[in-house]
Amino acid sequence: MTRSPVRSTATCSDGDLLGRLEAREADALEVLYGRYSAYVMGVSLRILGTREEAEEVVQDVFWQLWKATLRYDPARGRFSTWLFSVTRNRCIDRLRATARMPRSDGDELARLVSADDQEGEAVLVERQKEVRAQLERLPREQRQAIELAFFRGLSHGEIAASTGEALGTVKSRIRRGLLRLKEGLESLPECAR
Amino acid sequence: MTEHDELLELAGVYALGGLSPEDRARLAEHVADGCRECEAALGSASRLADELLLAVTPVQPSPGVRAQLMDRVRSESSEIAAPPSVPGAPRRVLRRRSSLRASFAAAAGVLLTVGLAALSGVLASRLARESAARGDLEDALDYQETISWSMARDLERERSERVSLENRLTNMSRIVATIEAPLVRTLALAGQGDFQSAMAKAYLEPESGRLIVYAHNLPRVPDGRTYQLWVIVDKRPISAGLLQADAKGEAKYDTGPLANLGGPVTVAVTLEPAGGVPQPTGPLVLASG
Repeated sequence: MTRSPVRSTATCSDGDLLGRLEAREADALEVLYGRYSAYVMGVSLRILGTREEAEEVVQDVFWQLWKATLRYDPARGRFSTWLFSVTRNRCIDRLRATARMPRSDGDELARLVSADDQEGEAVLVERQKEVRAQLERLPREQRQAIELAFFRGLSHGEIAASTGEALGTVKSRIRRGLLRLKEGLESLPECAR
Repeated sequence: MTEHDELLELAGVYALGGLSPEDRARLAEHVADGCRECEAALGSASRLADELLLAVTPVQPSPGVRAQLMDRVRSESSEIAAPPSVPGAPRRVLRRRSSLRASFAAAAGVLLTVGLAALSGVLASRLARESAARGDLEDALDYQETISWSMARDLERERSERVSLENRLTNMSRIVATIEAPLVRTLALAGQGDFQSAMAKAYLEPESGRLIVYAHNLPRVPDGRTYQLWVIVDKRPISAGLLQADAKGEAKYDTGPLANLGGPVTVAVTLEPAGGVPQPTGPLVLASG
């Protein structure tokens, strides 16, 4: 009887796939890639702005996962969000290494809110809608400050200089924006994976 | 607002990035000191930041990215898993065996291959862990080397400063010993000619033949010229060295032991060509009475 590893692996949980990855099963990496590469690419593209650089990060993140130099700690939450967070950090590091400043007006999150969903993991897509809905409820200036800090890696001082606002105002906007997001998201059931 | 309240607010936005290095250090120290509330706020903010990433629109990478990644992975896997080959040997054995034995051998070969593959997998996994651990150790070693290098550099600088201080202390001790010597003579040097504002004091210790001069208000020397110190004994000038004035026009000079300072001595300074001359040629700047 023949057995297709890819087919049987495709329905595995992330935890099972990571176990197989540790046993050096390339199929497990391929399934994880299929499951999350579009999100890793989305985060990279959002931060870096070019497909070429974003694809370099995608390749690098999954290669490091295979080489076990990136190690997932379940205490950090779901594997998917950990992976996206790792991706974001790598992209921000790249931005800082080249001392690039934000190219946008800092309202990328507003555009995200109205962006069309693409196909992806059903649970992630559902959670994505919830996060976007909460972002949509934020005042523009709070979204902008969060965007500049989170997706552009700017310090609060740099945001103040970039927007012409007082440092205290920037800090306050970020804090209030995050608080509203937190309250909004906590009132929703968390997706399970 | 207490410091804790302020740090609690920082903890709430920490995961978003953007805190200054100083604020990050303060927060880390505060949490390390055992503040559970701030630690919980950090965790909560971190989870929220992770959620924010879900707002990003997924974008499919080019198909080439997956192909390149998997080629790289499978290429590495085959390098690790490939068993060592013994050219020729299996072929000769198989030719002499019956079909039954050949089937058994084939089955055993499959089992062996599966076993080797599994073993390779285990070994590869262990290798990967050990490589990662080695990487961590290498990082730690690099860090230690950096620290060691930095410490060695600091040590060398401190050693150099200590030697310099010891030299200065020795010189000062010698000067003090000369000035405090019981037979020391003090000579006042007055400005001469165009150098009326200049003045100096010389301490002469006949026993050791040492002369120490402190000069003040010396005009800046023109390019290509220098101040030269003379000891005049029996109307014969003896060069005692070159004086170098600082920006304030002050100069301090210790001649070291000189001979024949027991009798009447005149001390003088002249302006001479750079490098000094055997006998005074330039204008008189300072002279003792």
